[in-house]
Formats: sequence, C-alpha cells, structure tokens
Amino acid sequence: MRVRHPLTVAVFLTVGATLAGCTAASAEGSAADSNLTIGSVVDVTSWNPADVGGGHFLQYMQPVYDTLLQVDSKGAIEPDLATEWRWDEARTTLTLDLRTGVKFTDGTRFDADAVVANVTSLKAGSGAASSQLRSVKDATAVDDDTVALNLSQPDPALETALTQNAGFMASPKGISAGTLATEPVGTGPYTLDAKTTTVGSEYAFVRNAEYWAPKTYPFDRITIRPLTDDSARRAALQSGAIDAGIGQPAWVKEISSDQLIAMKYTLDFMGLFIDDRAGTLVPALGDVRVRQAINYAFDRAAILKTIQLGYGEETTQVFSKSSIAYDAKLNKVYSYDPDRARKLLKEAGYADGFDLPMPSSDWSAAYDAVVLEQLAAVGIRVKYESIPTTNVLSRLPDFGAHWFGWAMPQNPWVTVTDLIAKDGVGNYQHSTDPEIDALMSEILVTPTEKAGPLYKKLNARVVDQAWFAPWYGVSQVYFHSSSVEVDPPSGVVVPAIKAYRPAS
Amino acid sequence: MLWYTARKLATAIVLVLAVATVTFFMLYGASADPVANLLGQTATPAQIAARRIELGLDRPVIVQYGDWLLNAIQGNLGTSWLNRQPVTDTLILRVPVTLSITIVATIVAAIVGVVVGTMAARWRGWVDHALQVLVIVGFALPAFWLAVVLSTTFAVNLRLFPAIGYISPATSIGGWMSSITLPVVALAAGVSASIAQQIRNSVLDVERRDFVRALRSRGLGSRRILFFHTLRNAAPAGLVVLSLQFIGMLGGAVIIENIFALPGIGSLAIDATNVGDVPVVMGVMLVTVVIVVVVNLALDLIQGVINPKARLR
Amino acid sequence: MSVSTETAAVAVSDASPRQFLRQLARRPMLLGSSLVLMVVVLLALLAPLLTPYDPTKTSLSLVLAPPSAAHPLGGDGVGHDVLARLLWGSGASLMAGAIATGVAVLVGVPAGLIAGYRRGRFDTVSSWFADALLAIPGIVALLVVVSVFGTAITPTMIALGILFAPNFFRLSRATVVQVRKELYIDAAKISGLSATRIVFRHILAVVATPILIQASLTAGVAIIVQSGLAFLGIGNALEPSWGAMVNDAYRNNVAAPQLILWPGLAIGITAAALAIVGSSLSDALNRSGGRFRTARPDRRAQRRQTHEDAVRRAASAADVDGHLVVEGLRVSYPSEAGLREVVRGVSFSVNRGECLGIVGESGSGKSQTAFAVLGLLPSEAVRQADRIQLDGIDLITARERDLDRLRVTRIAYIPQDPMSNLDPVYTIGAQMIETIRAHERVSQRAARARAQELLGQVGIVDPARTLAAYPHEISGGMAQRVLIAIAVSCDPEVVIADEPTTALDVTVQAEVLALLRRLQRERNLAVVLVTHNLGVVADICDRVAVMRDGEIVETADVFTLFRDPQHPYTKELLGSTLSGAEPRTRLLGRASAASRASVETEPEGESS
Repeated sequence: MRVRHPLTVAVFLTVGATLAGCTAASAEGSAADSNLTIGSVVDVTSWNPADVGGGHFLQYMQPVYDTLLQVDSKGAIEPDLATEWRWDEARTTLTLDLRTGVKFTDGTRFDADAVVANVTSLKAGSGAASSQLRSVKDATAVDDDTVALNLSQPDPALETALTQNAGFMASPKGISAGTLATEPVGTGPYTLDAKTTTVGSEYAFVRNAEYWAPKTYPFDRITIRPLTDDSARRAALQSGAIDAGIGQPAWVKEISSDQLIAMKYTLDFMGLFIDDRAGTLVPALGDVRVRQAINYAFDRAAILKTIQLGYGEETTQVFSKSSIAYDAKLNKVYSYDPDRARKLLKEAGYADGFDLPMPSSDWSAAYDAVVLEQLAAVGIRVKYESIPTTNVLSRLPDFGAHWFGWAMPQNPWVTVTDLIAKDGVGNYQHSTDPEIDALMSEILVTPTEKAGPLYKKLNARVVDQAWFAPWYGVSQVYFHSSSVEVDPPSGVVVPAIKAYRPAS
Repeated sequence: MLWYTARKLATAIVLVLAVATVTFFMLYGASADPVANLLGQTATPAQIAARRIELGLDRPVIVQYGDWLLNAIQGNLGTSWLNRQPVTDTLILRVPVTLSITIVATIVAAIVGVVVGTMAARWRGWVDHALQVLVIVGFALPAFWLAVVLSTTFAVNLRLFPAIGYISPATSIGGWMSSITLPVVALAAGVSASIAQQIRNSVLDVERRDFVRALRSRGLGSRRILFFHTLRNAAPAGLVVLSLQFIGMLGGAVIIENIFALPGIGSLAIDATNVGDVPVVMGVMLVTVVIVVVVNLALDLIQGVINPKARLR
Repeated sequence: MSVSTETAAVAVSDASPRQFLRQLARRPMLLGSSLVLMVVVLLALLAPLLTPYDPTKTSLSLVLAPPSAAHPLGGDGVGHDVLARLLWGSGASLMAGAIATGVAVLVGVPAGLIAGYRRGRFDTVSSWFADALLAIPGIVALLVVVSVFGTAITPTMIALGILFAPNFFRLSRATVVQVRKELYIDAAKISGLSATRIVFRHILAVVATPILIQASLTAGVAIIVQSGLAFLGIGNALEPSWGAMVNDAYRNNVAAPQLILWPGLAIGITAAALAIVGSSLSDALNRSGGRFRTARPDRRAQRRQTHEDAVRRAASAADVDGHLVVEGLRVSYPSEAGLREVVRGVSFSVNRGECLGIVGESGSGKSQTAFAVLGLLPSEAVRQADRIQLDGIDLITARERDLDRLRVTRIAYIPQDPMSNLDPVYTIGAQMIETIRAHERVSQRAARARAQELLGQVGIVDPARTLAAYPHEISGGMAQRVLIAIAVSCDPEVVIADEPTTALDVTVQAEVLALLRRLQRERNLAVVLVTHNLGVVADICDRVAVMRDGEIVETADVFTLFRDPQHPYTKELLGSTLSGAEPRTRLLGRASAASRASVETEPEGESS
C-alpha cells in the first residue's frame, strides 16, 4: 500500500457532491414548482392552538387552521371563518355569523358548537390565546351557524385577537381526544404531511383538497424549516435552501441581490423597562424625576445608528406608529440631554447617582454595554447580574429595571393590557397610576372609532411618568427570493402564510 | 468472556443510573423556575401556576424522581414541557441524525488517522513534520470556525452541498451523504489529526519492541510485519483514543448541528437547555451516556478480539 | 513484566526535573512555545499598563470602528476597544484554563496516587468514578451545569475540571502502579520510611512530568471549550474574555468579519503553544522518539560507503575463513556529541558445527554485534564493516529483500527475552506457521504439522496445545523453546543466540542449553552465542571471543582461555566469576551452567 496523499477526504467530498447534484438542483426554483419553503426562527412547540405562542409560531398554525377573522394587507380586519360580526350596546357580547358548509379535515362539521369547544379549549390552554381571551367569559351557540362571545368587560383587542391565536379553530374531535399537540386537524388550506415531515428539521404541508377558498393560497406545497441559528438561516437564504426568512440589518449589504430581496417593517420597540415605579426595589426609581433622567440619558439617534445600523425609528412611546394612540409630538419630550438628566437626579436627591442592579443575558448582550455607558455618564451605576437565558423571564420581577424588546401591535388595547394594566404580563412590579386607571376605564366603554383622544392622553401620561425609556422601533428585515412576492405583515412579526405568492 | 461482558454490563447500568440521578437532582434543584420561560413573556402568573400543576412540579422532588425513574425504566422518558412531544419519540427521531454524523466522522477519522499515522511513522521526514503541524492546528482550530468556513465555501458559494438540513438515508442515500458531508468533515478534521498522531506514536512504540526485531529476523518482510503485527499491536491504543474522540464528537455535534441546522440531539440539547425543558435535557443526557456506554462496551469486546490478554481481565 | 516496559519505567524515573530543564534548553519548539506562553501571561498581567482603555467601558463611536491610531484593533460590536478586550481577556481565558486544570489536578492526582499506591477498595471505587466521568459527554454536561449554576466562568470551568480529572487520575495511578514495582520503593519501605513519605518523595517526583504534559494540554482544551461555550451564547458577555470576543465577533461576522481574527488567533496561538509544550515534553521523555530524528544518517550514502570499504578490503581480508565471517565491524549511534561508537572493529568467524561464544559485560557491544550481523540494528544506528559474509554471500551490500530470503532459512536468531519476543496477539501456532509459509510453498496444514513436529523436537510435551496457546499462556522456558523451534524451522546453517538463557529460571537454563547443544550437533549448526555468563560459555562453546568496550580483546578456544587467559581483562573476568576459591577444573567439569556465576550483578536490560 503506497498511498501518496491523504485522498480519502477529497474522495468523500467528491462522491457526496456528485450525489448531491440532483437533490440540490431540484431544490432550486422551488417557488416555480408551486412550492414554498420558509425559514422560521422558532421550532413549533405544539400543533394545538391552545398551547402555542404568538408571533413566529403563527406561521406554523396558519396552513392548518383557519381563524375566525383575518387581517388584509393594510391591516383591516376582514371575514374568515366568521362572515359577519357585531357588538352589542354594552360592548360585552360579540356575535359572529359563521361560514357554512366548512368541514374539518377529519370530516367533522364546522359549526357554532365547534367554536364553543375551541373557545373553551383556547381559554384553558397555556398558549398566547389564553391571555388574548381573558375578558371572554364563555361562548354560546345562538344557532347552528351563529355564536356569541360573552365578555366580563369590554375588550377593544378582541377582534385583533380573533385574527391570531384566539381565532384558530381546531376539530372538536381532536380537542376531546387530546391529540392536537402532535396531530393538527383544522379547516385550513393545507394539512401537515407526516410522511415528508422531519420533526425539528422541516415541516411539510400539502393542499387540503376540500378547502373552501383554494385560490387564496397559490402554492401546492409549503415547507417550514426551523432555523434557530442565525448563521444557518443566513446560509440557507444565500444558498437558496429557503425562499424566505427573517434576517438582520447587518446582512442586507452582504447578501441581498437581484435574487434575494430585503424588505423591512416595524414591529418591536427596544429600550428600558423602568419597572419599579413605586420604588420598592430601587427607591430612586420611585421618583419620577429619576425615571425622566434615565430617558434624557440615552442618545437614541446614536444607538440606532451604530447598534441597529439605522434600521429603525426613534421613539419615546410604547405604542405602534400605526395605532390611534401614537402621537408624534411625544417623541420630542425626551431629547438627548445628559445635563438635564444630571440636574433632575440632583433635584431628586441623587446628585452622586445610585446603584441600579439589572439583569444581563444573551438576549441583551448587544445592548448591555451601551446602557451601562450612557447611564454611567449621568451618574447611574448599573450593576449587572449575568443570568442564563433559561431563567431570564422568571427573574425579571427581581429587578427594578431591565432592557427589553416588546411588540407594538396596531391595536393599542393590546399594548395597554400587556404593559400598562396592573396585572399586565409586562408590568412586572404591577404599577398603578390613578390617572392611567381612569383613562383605561373610560376607553373600555368607548367605541374604538372615538377612543383615539383617550388613548393619546393615556400615552402622554405614560411618557410623562416615564414608565419606560423606549429607544426606537426596530425595523425587522425580512428576506425573500425574487421568485416569491410577500406582503409585509402588520402587527405581527412575520408575514401570514397567505401573504406569499409566486412572483409574476 | 460471558462473565466479563455481564460484569461490564452491570457496571454500565449502574453508571447510567448514577448519571441520570445526579442530573435529575441538579436540574430540579435549580433555583430558577423554567416554566415562566417556557410559556414566554406574555404568560400570566395564573397560566404559569396552572402549567406547573399540569407538569406535576408541585409535587416533592423525590416523588417526581421516582415517577420519572419508573417511567424511564419502561422506556418512557416523559413528555417535553415545551412541545408536549414524548421525549422518547423525539430522541428516536433525532439520535440517528447525531449518530450518522458522529459515526461516519469516526470512521473517516479512523481511516485517515491510520493511513496518515502509519505513513508518518514509516517515512518520518516531511510527512511526519506535516502531521505534527496538522495535529497542533487541528487542536487549536475551533471546530465551529471550520464549520462556518466550510458552510460558506462549499454550501453558499460553490453550492456543492446543502447549507442546512438533514436527509434521512431512508429517503435518499445520495441526499443523506451530501447532507452530512460538511458536518462530518468539520467534525472529523481535528480528530483525524489526533488519531494519526496516536497511531504514529503507537506504531513507533511497537516497532521498538523486541518481537518486531524477532519478526524481522525471520525474514517476514516489512509490509507483512507492519500490517499483520505492528498495526494490530498498535490498534488498542488507537481504539482507546478513538472512543474518547467519539465521546468528544458527541459534544462537538452540539455546535456543528447548530450551524448546519441538523435535527440531532446536539441541537436538541442546546434548545432544551436554553428554554429549560428539563425532561428533554434529561433524555439527551441519558441517551448520550447510553451511547457512550454502548460504544465503550463494544470497544472492550473489540479489544478482546484484538488482544487476547484483555480477555483475561 | 517485560523488559521493554521496565526500561520505559526507568526512563521515566530517570527524568529528574533538573535534567529536564536541560532538555528544554535544547529544544527550540519547546523553548519557543514556552516563550509564547510567557508573553501571553505577561500581557495579561501588564494589561492595565499596556492599554489606557477600560475593557468594560464602551463608546458608541467605537461600535465596529475600523482600526485607528488610538484604537489599533478598532472597536467591537458594542463599542469596546478590541485591543483592551484582547489584553484583559487573556487574563480571563488563562484563568479559565488555570481553574479547569487546577481542579482536574487537585481532584485527579491525589486520588490517582492513593488509588495506585494503596490499591484495594479505594482503587476500585475511584477507578469506577473515573470511568463514569469519562462516559459523560462534556458539552452536554456543561449545558446542564450552566442551566443550574449560571453562566459565570468559574463554576463552568470547575465543572470542566472535574470532567478532566479522570485523565489525571488514570495517569498518576498508572505511573504509581508502575513505579511501585521498582526496587527503590521496596528499598525505601525496608528502610522504614512512612507510606506518605514514600509517595511524596519518590512517586511525586516521577509523576510530576507526565502530569505537567497532561496539564498543558488540558489548559489548552479548557480555553477552547470556554470559547466554544461563548460561541453558543453561554457565558458572560460583559466580562472581557476571548470567548466573549468570539461571541461578539460571531454576532457581527457579516458587518465586521475581521473581528473573529483577534480572539481566534489568541485562542489558537495559546492553545497551540500549550499543545506544543505538552508534546515536546513527552518527546523529551520518549528518548528514542524525536531525539535522533535530526541526526538520522543518510542511508544511501552510508551503504555506498560500506560497500566501497568492503570492496577495498575484501582481498586483503580473504585470509580469514569460515561459514560466517565478520571483519572490522563498527556500529555507532548519533548523539548530541556526534557519532558514538559502541562496536569498534570487531572481527570473528565461525564454521558449521562450531560454537563461538562472545562474552562480555553489559554494554560491551556484544548484542549490538549480533544485531549488526543480522542486519537488525535500529534505523538510527550506523553500521560499517569491511566484511560480513555468509557462505560467501555479502551481507553488507545485500538488499533488504534478499536479506529477508536469507533470514531464518540460512541465518537465524534466538533472542534474549522469550516473552517479549513473541507477538502477544497471535497464537504460537500462527507465528510458527507464518514463518514457515513465508519461506516455503507449503499448505497451511503441512506447515502446521511441521510446527507441531518442531515443538516436539524442542522438548515440548503437548505440542498441539502449545500451538493453540497465546504467548502469555505459556511459561518463559516454553517460550524460549518455541523461539528456538522457530529459529530452526527453516533449516538454517547459522544461529545467532543472544543471551538465550538469561531471562530464564536456573533449572530451565540448563535444559535450554542442553537443547541448543543437541540441535547444534544434530543439524551441524554454526552457532554464535552471545552471553555474559562464563558458565554458559564453558558449557557449550568451542571457541570464545572476549569483548570489552566494543572491541574483542582476546579470542581462544574454550580450554585455552579458561586455563591460560592472556588478556588482563579476561583474567579479571575469570577471577570475579570464580570468587577466587573455586578450582577451575570443578567449573569446567560441571555438566550444567546453572550457576548464577556472571560477570555482572544486574540483569542485562539493554535491548537495542
């Protein structure tokens, strides 16, 4: 044996490549074959709508499940499984007329009883739908194709909720059998194809032959690949292994081309949550002047430009620009002014600054340093505690302030219930304010069309009280191949499945 | 031999139990509560409490442990806290992926290692010097760096191989090969070098032993001595290194699977630890230890075949 | 225990720290990599003086900033000065390596020392624990540790240290087990030293070096593992460490691909330096490993020269006659002080039916002479000779392939230590058959029958069972008979026996000698018997050559030599053998050479 060179590796590479040739070739131009492959940053955790989270998870649900309502490309709410809907006078009952002749893929009929079963299941589950439906007491079947949702108090966010998790309708048979988590059964345009699905790697959906509006969905086959690692997703986009997927601002220059198009839309805001507005954990934060000082301490423009590469829009508000609560004037309240911040701290009795314990984790890694730097410049000494990502959410209530990002949905009531209400999941220290409470009660009994000024007042109060120190709304960068057209989503992080179509 | 195997097997079972127990109490004894994390930032305290009860986390840890153990013995590793999938099913789907890349990488590394190591021992000179350099480079070069470079070069730029994903050999053998090629090369590169180094040293050691001179005195020819005697005597040391490297590769797979988006137990491990999906972490830990134990057992048996002395122990 | 492992152990125990330092100075790679490490440590210590920037302070203007005069390496993704991070980070990364290695040594070494020295239950239990730890895949275990104890470097590295501890445990345990068997420990025991003092004074000195090697590798691995975890996003991003820098670089690898370079180089260079230190240290220990490599002789030139020598001198030397003729044989080895000659111009000849004894002390070059004639010298040895002829065939210029055809068929070899000269992984039968079939076109079955017959001829009672046995299953005496059987299996004319009885029990020695004598007569063999034992010489040799310091000082027939030794050295040898009192005639009359009479007190350990 006289092997002159370690050829083995080379041989292995060549053989693999040759064999790969055919598969790689067939994968390309998949959109043209009426196939769509989407990369997702999350892996589906359950196929049961009652258990699944919002945001990125919606794409996994939408092929299989229809929602009661849906949003069009401009953000307006339109019919889906419910063809018409109306509120009663007190805005505590929402009556929905249901589409007739629709069947679940297991043959079960879709009717008012099915909606009742779903609402019960969704409310009891641990997914995003449960909190979306918190104001819904129960659902009652008015007749075979009419259902009433009975609310404990008015909920201006309910219609939006019914376009997302709270609107997914699963087969009552599947609900009672408890099998939905692994075997989804809905009325949607596609069914999960177990044969070509590899859990954790790719989920394949094939057309539901009996779907009631097949033309809305131009693709014969949809594949969703969970790609949690950024570099894997970038490589997948570049190599054409996926037709679309979420990306990062830094990639735009590097990978966008004629074949790979970047689009952007705003969803989350980033910045500081000044949670301890009562001053229980960090007494200094109990003083509104200190919280305002924090707002004056941040050079939003510089942070946006350097860390976010300019992909975003400065803001001091937690409400979406597209919502009726938004008020452009409020953005001028806190301009970058460290001197003013120091002066406010001095007035509050913290001329020498104070120690501010904050959590640091992999999530906030890119921002921790700048928070430290800019607060230090006005005398606030941030003391970080390093926390594994696993424990971040359960540890947040232990801190007086933290860096975070939060979605800015179009419907302002969602923001109010999440971040501002006393029991809001993002109100970690359960802060209250008499003026805010009064405005919230008033909004509840006011029809949405007329609630604009009230929301703006509420927003102004939150900004003035400096409950948060938002920096900017982040522009989400979404890449798609030139063979696919995509409508940007409104109010959710990724486009809905029906927003994709082959390029003409 | 039978008694020997039985004893090894008993030790292995005790080992698996011990590792499982320690891991269990470490994970459940952790101060922070992962349930909040599982449900995400929009979960209400009531939802969190309800999920805790549903998962049985309100019971004493010792009861949870007993429960887990009883089920585990029957092959039921519980269900994921995150996605409700039975852990056993998930592992059955994912273990083949990890084994595909680690076993193929081990085989590649063994072949390359033996060929290069033997050449280095035989010819010394530049081959030997090159090997020494390669060993150092392979040791110091982080596997993730190599993986990223391979992915950029061969998948993104040249498009010879898929950048991501895994194709089961049941679907397509060619697809399977092309889907694991880059991960295998990334895993095997450093290992090949260190196995080559080990084989080189062992071959040199064996060649210095008396019986090799005795064999030469019988006019057997250097090739026959090399292939039938030297390599076979050098093999046990090489096998030990190979088994250690295999264990190392199971760890390396965590990073490689992440970069190539392979649905193996490595990426499962990192996802599960990131969200605190304890049953899955337990399952991954258990299955990796079982794999290691099985590999070591197999190695012992092979050692017994190669080296008659080992059979006596 | 075989001779080769014994010598290995001696080699280990010889390497005292001071000798070691001397070795270090002679190795450029080792010196260079040690210097690199020292520089890294210095940079870590002097970081506050070398850079004006605080590694935890950021400035937005520095985010992904290109290199500038003020910031020679630019800024990272969050606005740290990269140079400051790199310098300060070296401290954290070195500390990570030090913690992991320290814990591994502190846990593994004491446990290994105790287990190896005391054995018994502690050994069983701790060995089991070591095996258990080795079965745990590192990164998966670390992920668990991180999810329990958080992302700080210290607990992670302590856990890593515990995972590495089995390596140190096994190493120190094995070394102690080996060293324990050596004489000086027993001697220390007898002299009344306490067990702990024995462990610390002697054993620790011996295990120190292998542990140092392992430690340097471990530290390198720990630094790499730390960066791997940081790559996965597990680690403290605020504290400067190379791992944290890798993570930051990876986050920004599109916008600023050069960022990976600095931590990558730092990790790579440090880990490589540690690895080189480790492997150079082990090379230094392993004397026959790297040391001769540079001094390796040019084989072709060497052969050409010896050939010329042979041609030039062949005519003049032709007067010496014999079946095997050796003239002017010189063997030398490269050493630091140039070539060191161990055989200096040895000449002898032997005829069929004759037995020539070559006798001398250990280190006199007699075994080297035997190997040189057979062409079995190690590759680094340099052989020169005026003439080496077997029945007129020139063995100096013969190719290896031709030599292989002569070996065992015409000139055979019987080694010193029977146990180490059989391949342990094949049965006796396989090894005998292999030899027979390598030289004769006979069937497996015929070869087997011949092997069985040969075993019968060398006095083995149950040849069939012996054929099926592995070397470790038979006694030393049997093994030597097997080796003799192999030596004569293809009917050679000349047999060179190198101390064939030294390793055997007294009673067995006599039997083996008797066997040799019988075979010599039956087969009309020319025998060259290398020995240090004058009793053996007296027993079976016809002529004797006395060797000293690589030279033959006197050659005579056996009776003449014993009765009338000419050279003072020969007289001295005879004198020490007979302890003065015993009459020579008694010795000569003895039927066996079973006496322990020998010219040296320690068993001959040289094997090359």
